[in-house]
Amino acid sequence: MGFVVSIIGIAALFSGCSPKKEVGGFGDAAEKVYVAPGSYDEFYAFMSGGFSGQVSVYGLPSGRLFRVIPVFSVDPEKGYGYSEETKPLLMTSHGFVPWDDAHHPQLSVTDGQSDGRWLFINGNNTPRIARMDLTTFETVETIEIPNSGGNHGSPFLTPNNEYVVASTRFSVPIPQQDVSISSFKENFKGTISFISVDSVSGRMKIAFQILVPGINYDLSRSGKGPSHGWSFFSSYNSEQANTQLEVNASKNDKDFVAAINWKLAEELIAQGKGQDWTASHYHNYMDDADVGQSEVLNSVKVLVAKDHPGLMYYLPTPKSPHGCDIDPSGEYIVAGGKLAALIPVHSFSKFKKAAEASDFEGEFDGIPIVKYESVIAGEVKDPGLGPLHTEFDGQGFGYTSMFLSSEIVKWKIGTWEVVDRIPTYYSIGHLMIPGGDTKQPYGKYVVALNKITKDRYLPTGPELTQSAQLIDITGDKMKLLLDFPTIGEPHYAQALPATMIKDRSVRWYPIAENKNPFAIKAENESRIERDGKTVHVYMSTIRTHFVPDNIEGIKVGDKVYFHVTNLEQDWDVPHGFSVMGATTSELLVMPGQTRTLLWEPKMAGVIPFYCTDFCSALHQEMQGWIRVSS
Amino acid sequence: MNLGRTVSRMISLAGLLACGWLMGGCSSTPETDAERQARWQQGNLTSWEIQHGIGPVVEDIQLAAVDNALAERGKAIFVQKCATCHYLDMKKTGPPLRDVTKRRSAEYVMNQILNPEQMGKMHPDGRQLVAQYAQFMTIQGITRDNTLELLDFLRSEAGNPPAPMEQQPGFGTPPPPPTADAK
Repeated sequence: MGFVVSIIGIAALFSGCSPKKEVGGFGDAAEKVYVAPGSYDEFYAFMSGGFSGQVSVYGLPSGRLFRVIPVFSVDPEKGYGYSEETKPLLMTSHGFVPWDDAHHPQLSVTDGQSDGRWLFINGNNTPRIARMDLTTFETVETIEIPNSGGNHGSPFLTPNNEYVVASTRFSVPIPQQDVSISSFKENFKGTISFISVDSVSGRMKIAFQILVPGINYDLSRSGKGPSHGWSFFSSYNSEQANTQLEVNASKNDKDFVAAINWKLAEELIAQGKGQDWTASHYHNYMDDADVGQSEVLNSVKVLVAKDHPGLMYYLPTPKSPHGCDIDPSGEYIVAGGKLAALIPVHSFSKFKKAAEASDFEGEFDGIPIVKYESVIAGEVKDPGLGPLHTEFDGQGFGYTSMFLSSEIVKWKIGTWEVVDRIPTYYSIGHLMIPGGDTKQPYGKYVVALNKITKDRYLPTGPELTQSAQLIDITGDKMKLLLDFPTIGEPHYAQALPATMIKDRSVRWYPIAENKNPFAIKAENESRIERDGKTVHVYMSTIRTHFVPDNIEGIKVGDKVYFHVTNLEQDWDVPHGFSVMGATTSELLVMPGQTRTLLWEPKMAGVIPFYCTDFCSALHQEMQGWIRVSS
Repeated sequence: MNLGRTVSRMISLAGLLACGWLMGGCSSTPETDAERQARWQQGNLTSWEIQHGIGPVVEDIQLAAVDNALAERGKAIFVQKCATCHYLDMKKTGPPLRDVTKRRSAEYVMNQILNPEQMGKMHPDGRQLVAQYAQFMTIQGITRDNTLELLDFLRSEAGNPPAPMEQQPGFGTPPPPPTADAK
């Protein structure tokens, strides 16, 4: 190591080395990220796949990719969204929507700390929230959010998973109606949804929605400690412009952080103050038999914010704020004014006092605006350009990403002075510290989640990967350790200690407990049943054969359901199943699991099928034929 | 072991001595997989292991007479978890098993079921079978108590004449597929 370092040092002296290579300095970086073969990473990091609609799981500090969890997009690698069992998870009131734009992974919390049970993420485009089970790393539930024009500001959890909080990015006519777009101010509204989470099963349900003035609602965090019971949302376009927003939505010096008292909302709902609005939306979940179910719900409870004093306030915030983050103590609300030259920090205690004293500077569409001077705790001056998001290290410092100047800035809570900064490449969006949004961050690293990687890796044509950078924050000076490519846009990420998940990880499903109605528990139960034009093939897999492996009597025009049960009871032995010409995907069936492929033969002949997931030396022999008659 | 039967466990003197010699002082700590692997690479399998297999069963097992109730439970397990790969009287994915209890000790059968991967990699006979079948025996979540039930089933079948194929436990050709004119 010393030898390598000296070579680099000498090269730097003689060649003048490009400044980029010196970013952060390397020193002992390799040692700090090296995880020896057979050793485990310290943290699981869950990164959004952005426009891939998925979640990717990396180890920290190695940056190794462990898995991609399919969430909102079909995934042929895992048969997700192709098998009959998982298709229902992608159902919406718009039909089967096999894609979304997934932005903000959020780990479940107990008493404001990660509890390692579930991971939530939003579908931005067709408003949805998904829940993944961290014992299996599988998506087990999705819920559609009605009365929303784009689900960007979500899913942000209250401190005990009481609610997943979701705000609409685009205000739209609510309920939808055919009106002129120029009637934005009169007809367009926003909603903020509170989705309850069952503390045992994790099952979600829209508890209530709050109808709010028609502007753009963006990022959110829920309060904790003294601010428990409140949720805060950055918002922009207080101009309520509806065209050329890059000009027309940037006119006001200040927009808002919206503060919502969800404890009060709960009381109002309990008092019957919620209105029943018709709002068709899908709720999809894997049932006890591991089969996806869709239910259509037709109404939601709505509270109209301006009708309930004390439910909502606006905190003036410069300028076009994007991020909205709460420090570990729960006292400070940090907004990232993406067009502002400073980072405004509000004080919760000052806000509460101002709200109680009606210390307002006016109102916006019926919602009181608290005086800026009465709520601001401090401003981080000249931090850089384009402050976006802030996470905390638990040691009294905030770390803010600077989109325009591509850097992370570290500042001290209370004095608001900048104490360190480190360049990132390029156009950093979110940043993430393990536990950085919780009451007790784990600290140690900050991960920069970058949009652009020009010049950074070997070129791959016009499109380059997005990327993450791992930075050591244990010392006074931030230090770059590692960078690695990511899948899709690593919009936001969350991380927790590996020990919280590792030992609870499911290795296989006990075959005796398989409740899929089409499961078979032993090879001698395999069979073929015809019902009119529908054929059910109850098929088993084990290293290294299918039963049955010769199927005759299928006719053109039949609907053939292959119910494939993997009889293996061993870790990491899934089997695949694919049919020539099938218009869907393979199945990938976990040990002890049943998955179903629908196949509709279009021509007579003999069609082969085979296992796609290498399982043994006789994997190639794991195949069979289907005879199709006209 | 509440199986309503007598299973006595004894650490054999030879095993005890071997243990002391190989591990330098017979600590009560069980041997790790890595330690066992290292020992095997040095050619240090004990004669007990050669005879009785490599795995969690490290003591002599004494079996009583076949208990029919246990054998029935063993048959159910065989049908669900073993018949995927084994017939009694002919090769399938794995070898035929009717006379396995005559060919192998109870300890060997138990270790093969409970520790198939190391048996296939480290035991000379296990390696030979893997080479022959191009396949390691799969782990099917069978418990140690289950192996005793399976042993009674296999012992009850040992020595019986070969059964017709359709009477082989677990053998079930799927019912004939629907024919082209099936409705």
